[in-house]
Amino acid sequence: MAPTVHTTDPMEQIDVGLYLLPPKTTSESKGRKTSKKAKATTADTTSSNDTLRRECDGFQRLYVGRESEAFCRRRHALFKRRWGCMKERIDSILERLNLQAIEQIVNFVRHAHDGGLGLHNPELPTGLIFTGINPHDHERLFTQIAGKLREERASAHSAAVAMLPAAKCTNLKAASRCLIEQFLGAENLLDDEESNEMNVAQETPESTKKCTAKLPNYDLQRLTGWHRLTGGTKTLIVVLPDFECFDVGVLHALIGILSTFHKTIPFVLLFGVATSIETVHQTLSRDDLACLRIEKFKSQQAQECVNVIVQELIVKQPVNVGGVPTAFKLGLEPYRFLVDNFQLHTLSVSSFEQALKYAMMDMYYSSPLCVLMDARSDAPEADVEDDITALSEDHLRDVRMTKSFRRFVDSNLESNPDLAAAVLCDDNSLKQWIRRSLLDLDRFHVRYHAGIQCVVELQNTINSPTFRRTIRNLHLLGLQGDIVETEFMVALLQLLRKKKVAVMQEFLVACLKQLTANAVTQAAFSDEIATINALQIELASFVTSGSDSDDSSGDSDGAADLARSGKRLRPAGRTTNVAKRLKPIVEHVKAGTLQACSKRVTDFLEELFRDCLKSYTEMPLHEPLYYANEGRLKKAFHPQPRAAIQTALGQTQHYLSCTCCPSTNSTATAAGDAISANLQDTSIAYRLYLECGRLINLYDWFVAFGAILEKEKDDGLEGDEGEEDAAHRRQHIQARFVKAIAELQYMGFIKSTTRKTDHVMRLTWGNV
Amino acid sequence: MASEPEPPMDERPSQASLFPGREDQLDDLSKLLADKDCAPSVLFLSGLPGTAKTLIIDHVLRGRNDRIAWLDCVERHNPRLLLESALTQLSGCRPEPLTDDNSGLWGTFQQCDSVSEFVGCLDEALPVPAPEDTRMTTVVFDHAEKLRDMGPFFLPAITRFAALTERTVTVILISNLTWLHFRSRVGSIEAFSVEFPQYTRAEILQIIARDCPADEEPGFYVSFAEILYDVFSNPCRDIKELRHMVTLLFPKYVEPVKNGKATREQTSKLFGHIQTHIKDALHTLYLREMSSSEWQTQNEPSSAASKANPRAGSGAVDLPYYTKFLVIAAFLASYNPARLDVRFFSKDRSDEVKRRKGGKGRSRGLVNEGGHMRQQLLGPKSFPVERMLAIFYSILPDEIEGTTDIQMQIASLMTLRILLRVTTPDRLDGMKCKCNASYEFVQQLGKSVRFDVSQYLHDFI
Ligand SMILES: Nc1ncnc2c1ncn2[C@@H]1O[C@H](COP(=O)(O)OP(=O)(O)OP(=O)(O)O)[C@@H](O)[C@H]1O
Ligand SMILES: [Mg+2]
Repeated sequence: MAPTVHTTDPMEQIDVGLYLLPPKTTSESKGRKTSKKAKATTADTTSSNDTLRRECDGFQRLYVGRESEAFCRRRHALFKRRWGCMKERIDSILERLNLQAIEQIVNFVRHAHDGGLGLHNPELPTGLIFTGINPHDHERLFTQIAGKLREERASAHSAAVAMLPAAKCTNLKAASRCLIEQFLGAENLLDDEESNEMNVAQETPESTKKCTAKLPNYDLQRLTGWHRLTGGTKTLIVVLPDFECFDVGVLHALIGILSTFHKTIPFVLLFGVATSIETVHQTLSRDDLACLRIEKFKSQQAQECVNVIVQELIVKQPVNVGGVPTAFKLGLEPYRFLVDNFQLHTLSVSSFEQALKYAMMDMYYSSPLCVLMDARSDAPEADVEDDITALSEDHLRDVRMTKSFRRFVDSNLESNPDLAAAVLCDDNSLKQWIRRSLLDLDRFHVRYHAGIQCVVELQNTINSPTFRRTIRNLHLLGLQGDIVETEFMVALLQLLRKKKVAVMQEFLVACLKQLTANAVTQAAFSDEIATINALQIELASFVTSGSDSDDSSGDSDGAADLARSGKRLRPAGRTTNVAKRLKPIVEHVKAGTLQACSKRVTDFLEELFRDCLKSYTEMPLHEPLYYANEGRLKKAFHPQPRAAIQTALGQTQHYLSCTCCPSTNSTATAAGDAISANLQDTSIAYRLYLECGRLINLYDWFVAFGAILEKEKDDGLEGDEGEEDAAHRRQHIQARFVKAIAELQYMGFIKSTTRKTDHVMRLTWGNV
Repeated sequence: MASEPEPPMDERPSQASLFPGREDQLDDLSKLLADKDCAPSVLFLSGLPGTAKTLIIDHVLRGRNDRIAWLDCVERHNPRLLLESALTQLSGCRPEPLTDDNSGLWGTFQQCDSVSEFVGCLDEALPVPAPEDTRMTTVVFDHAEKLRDMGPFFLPAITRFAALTERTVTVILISNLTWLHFRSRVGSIEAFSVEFPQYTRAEILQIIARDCPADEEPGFYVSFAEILYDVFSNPCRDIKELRHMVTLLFPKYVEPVKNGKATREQTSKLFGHIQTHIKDALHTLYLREMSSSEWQTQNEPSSAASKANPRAGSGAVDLPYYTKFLVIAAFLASYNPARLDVRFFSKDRSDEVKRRKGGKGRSRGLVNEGGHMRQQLLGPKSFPVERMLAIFYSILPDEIEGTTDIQMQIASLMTLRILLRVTTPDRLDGMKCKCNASYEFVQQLGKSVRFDVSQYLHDFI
């Protein structure tokens, strides 16, 4: 939830300083990671790096600059392509979700002036669009609506749309100007001053009595005149996307004015309301409300939008058959961060989208192996093949350093020592392995997606509010792995078993539909599809045979069933470990009964989910595909200004990294009062401040501050100075002290107090 | 006036008069404005909204060959707009596009920012008429109460137009305030006042009767209007409102007749039928909780979708999890006395304490509990944001790091007007707020996050 730009917001009055420090050379920025610096880069390579960086939005060659330029460009291009696709998808998803609301609104506008209702004082048709609390999210919605309305009315009667954002309409003049500008579609409305000048220039003889002076650009006569001259039938639609931010006075005046014009000009108002109808009633007076004929519309909830985005852009496999990027995989922690941030803090689709973009950009920017994400290993030996063949030594070393690679080697040491040795030592085998692993991952992703869909179907079948999770939470469970062991899953399967045959059949059909959604999934699920078919036949036999009566009672009296059928058989054909783990009580179920059959279904499901929804960390080579850097997201989206300021003041070396600052914090604290005089003044004052109590005596503070600065002088030049110099110096110190104190006060560390003269109050305690 | 006999019901009211109840005013005004030389320099029409001030003066002035500038002060909201428009109208032209393309610049007669400029320009716009010219010059300010907000010198200058321009100009001010409200601003000028008193019952019924649909018996229509008038006259006698209600409710009233379930004569049956609707209307229509179109669609059984629609936006505001706690914290800070915060929110709060605040402090003697000074009755109290944050962190079920997000959420709550800032916006330090959420809303929030708000409220019912 982001605050809207409010004109009276204090934040606008603070100058926010933002420093962007691009790393000077690649070697410096990556030097930390690899701990050895690139050898002297010639002026030549530097300049080529510069052009590269310029052309690639700051992407730079990794591996201490050893990465080939082609790879760097490729990462950049891949990022652009992927984000382009995702952005397009997000837009179309949101448009699809809001389609109904948009249609309703357009319909409302179209018929707004049809009926007339036979009232005496015509009311302004007003649509309230309840959008949810994030105004920024809905700019998109409103542009869509505006676009639709413009094209919509182009045919029958024409319509014009004006969008009045609250930030632009701080007073009535500005609002009117905005209105006129947008309706008349004219940027050529000159400012008052300019028009004054033109006025003088164009003075014509008075006798003609022509209108020559300019109308002020906020004069609504301009609008009425224009409307009259353009035929007088145009519907004028005024959209206020952020109702809550609007100044009440302006709103009141605007409604008053528009309703006086309404007799001649057909107006329609559309308000975007973030909260509820109660706010509208609170904001507008009864007289204003009496001028409006309100209808309400609801746009799609942010929750639902994010669910669909997660489903379509995160749960799916990253690249589809055609090699077009479709989704972006996030590891558990970053994904949880995104979801938490959404649920707990913002509820905003656009900030979710931004975080996703940021993660993706960081992935492509900082991880050289990310090119594998878009390498379609099963594609014909075309362009993509060379991504893998072209992998450099650095890349391969990185692959060998991944955890999943090591696990793979470890697990193969005994069973297949040759393979382990080959991938370890031979680059070609490794590439072969990469190819294979990518294929496996592909299959895994396809199965994972279908598996999640099956869980959704299962939920729909059970249809109980306590066992309904949104897809974004299901995915979270899936990423954690072991979804079958979760209480939630156990309960779901238990419930399924108690359902009637018909319900179970329906569910299996739905499942089958998910598994056979397309050729790819069909191929990935060939075994399971066969099993489901078998199960369906088995279930069907219960329906056709006389045991229909069981169906109805099958929910509860399993014991009766058990007694009726005499045969006692071990569950046959169950060789999987699932079968071995069956609980003793379940063992008693006899084959051939409905119970046995439904148990077979749940066992099958359990197995299916166990395999499909296993944690991605079990897959070899998942690292290049899953974004894992939660810390960076946190830093970008949950900044902690207070901690940053305190570090800046208390541990200046992190920021300045100059030689004169004490290198570590420990030396500073160990040496007690050894505050270096070389520090920045505010920092010195701050460190002294840390040693003070609740009330700080300014004079003592000043003396201590002076003493530190004096030390600098002592260290510097030895020798006498004149009386004047000393006085001058004291003044100098005092000035610096006052400046430092003012800065601390501005940052909120101290506050003046009336309790004791010459004292200030200390406001912060403890280090963050 | 009040006991005036009602007109016979079967007579078409149009025969009575064009403007029922406004005969006197019509008479007065036409006499006052009959002759240019006798016309008053300032004419003041006052009356409540809907008393036909605009209607009557328009009727009197229209059809005359006068020079009139008609200015609506709502739309012409500053002196420049008013004066320029007045000049343009008096000079007999109308604003027109300066370029071929009418979306470009528009021209007006003369730019004019102040009354002195206006006086200067007036001669150009309107040469002093010859003495034998009988046409009047009139400037009408509708909704003249707005003039009082346009600077201290504007209104006095306007009322002295005649003196300033040295010609016979009549200034007509139309307002729903009385002259008393103007006199202190205007000074010693006296205006000719014409009062438009509120209508009597009979007059209102006469006016409403004119709306009778062509295919309806007037007598029947008026009898319905009578019923409505008797119900609504207590809260509202505004003619606009009443007509609004009558037109919206009348279809309901005739419904049984149209269905053949009753005849027009069975008034008591019809009345019983309409009674429930009227009750409804008192709540929803009159307070505009439901707009006229919703009212109409609601009663069309065909559209099921539109039935759900009216309640669409009410109540349910989806807030992020922590923001819900912020609102709750703000509510608690607004309604609990600060001195009890330690008791409610300190970490080592024992069960005994909990019980005490929940279970009536009457035994333990909280002195000023209850009574008319209860915060609940006084409305939300303002509180420093720091206090709200302290409560927020203490009621949260889990520990979170203070990040910019919380501050951002506070800011958004302010833009959503759930929090109201009471200190000036430029004051960053020691900002104070008020909680603008209702108890029901907060309770609902509390339920959704499993937090029992009532447990933490002091002296709240
Ligand atoms: N005596 C009447 N005869 C006929 N119609 C009337 C009468 N009184 C009021 N009305 C109706 O009520 C409407 C409101 O009247 P009008 O706008 O002139 O009131 P007003 O005094 O100017 O109100 P406001 O102060 O809000 O401008 C008129 O359009 C007219 O249809
Ligand atoms: Mg009026």
